[in-house]
Amino acid sequence: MIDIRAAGPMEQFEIVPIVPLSFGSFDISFTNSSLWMLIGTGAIILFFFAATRRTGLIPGRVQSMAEVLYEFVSDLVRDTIGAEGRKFFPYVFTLFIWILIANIFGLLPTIPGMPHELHTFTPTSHLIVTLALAMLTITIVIVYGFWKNGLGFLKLFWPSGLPWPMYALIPAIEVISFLSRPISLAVRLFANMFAGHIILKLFAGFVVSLLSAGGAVMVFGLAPFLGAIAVTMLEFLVAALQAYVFAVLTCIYLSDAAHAGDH
Amino acid sequence: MLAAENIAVSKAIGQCAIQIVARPGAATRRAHDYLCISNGYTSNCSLDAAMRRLYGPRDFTEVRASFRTCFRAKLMGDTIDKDGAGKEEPPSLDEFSDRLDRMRGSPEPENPRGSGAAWGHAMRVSSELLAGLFVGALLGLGLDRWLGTQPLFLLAGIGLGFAAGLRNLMRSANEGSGHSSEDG
Repeated sequence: MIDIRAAGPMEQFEIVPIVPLSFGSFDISFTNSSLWMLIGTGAIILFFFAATRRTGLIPGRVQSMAEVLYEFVSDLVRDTIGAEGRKFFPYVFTLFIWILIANIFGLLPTIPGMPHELHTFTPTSHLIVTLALAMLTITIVIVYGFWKNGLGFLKLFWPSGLPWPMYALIPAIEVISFLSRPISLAVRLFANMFAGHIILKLFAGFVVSLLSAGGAVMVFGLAPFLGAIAVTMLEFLVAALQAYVFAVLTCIYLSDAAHAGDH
Repeated sequence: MLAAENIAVSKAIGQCAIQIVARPGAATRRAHDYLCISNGYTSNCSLDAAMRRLYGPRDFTEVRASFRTCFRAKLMGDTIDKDGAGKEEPPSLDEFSDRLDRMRGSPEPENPRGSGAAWGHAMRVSSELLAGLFVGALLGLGLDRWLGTQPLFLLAGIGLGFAAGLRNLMRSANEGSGHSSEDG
């Protein structure tokens, strides 16, 4: 009998330091999270290096993939922000690809027998990572909004053409609505990845515990096994979708910043 | 006026066109993209060139015209004359360009992201409301702590936060009908 045991569903989110480092009182250790961010970033760089190394008029497979991604994001940016969105394309593209790869690499199976430091890890399943990305987006929105529109950016909180008593409430609501943007951006991505991975590990855990029970009970392991397969497929969809949603919302907020003075 | 360009384009496009004829289904759309950008970008048709198609001047028709001429010239074995216009119109090529037009459909797809966008929309709606409520409550709590007015700002914050959440929802619902949704 092989030794099968299920790890807890939360174990996958544990941060394990690989190279302990500290800066003053801050812990800036190189962790498994950093490692998987690095792996993702490295893979993206390699992919686009391979895609653009030998470009042809008739694209090869890798070049086609890169171009599909490129055109997808560039259509998105153009449709949402308009012509002046062009300068944000590198940012949105980087964001989209990075989140996509971080999400998808988190779904890779861990190689059995690896030490915990090298277990598959999803950087986007930690709120602090997604919050950092959301804050970066909102910072760009605010800085660009003021740079482009000056104080006209504040019109975002002061919509024109309302009956005057409404101005007692509407600016407060608009400010809260604006402040909720980075929160909803960060929490949505984090919660989707977090919840998805927990469900995945729970199903897988059922399979393991039913199999280790032995005997006729093992047959019941089939149901959670099929469930785990279904959830894995769903998670791939969610991984792509969340990267897409993050990119769309980034574009929409940037579009607000770009056009705040227009109305 | 396009003659010099045409010669350059035709060299590159010759291959492309043959590719289309050989595998019409798979290659047409892709090849068309390249035809659109290959106007002046014949040697290095890389990702940067795609940018030209998306953001550059809309010179579709001109390039298409030049493509047809070149293609004709290529097939007929002609050299391209000064004004770059082929005289003959073999029926097979008309049929080909009709097919090309049919496959390409309308030049500007209405909603390229279709169901993906709808999915993304559904995903967003769920969290917009909660985020507004959360931020409102948090602001209220913070103000209460600061000013020592315990339940007052929290209640106001929850109310305003709920309103802000609804505002978020309405905004994201409006975004389906174009990006200039801020007039809602």
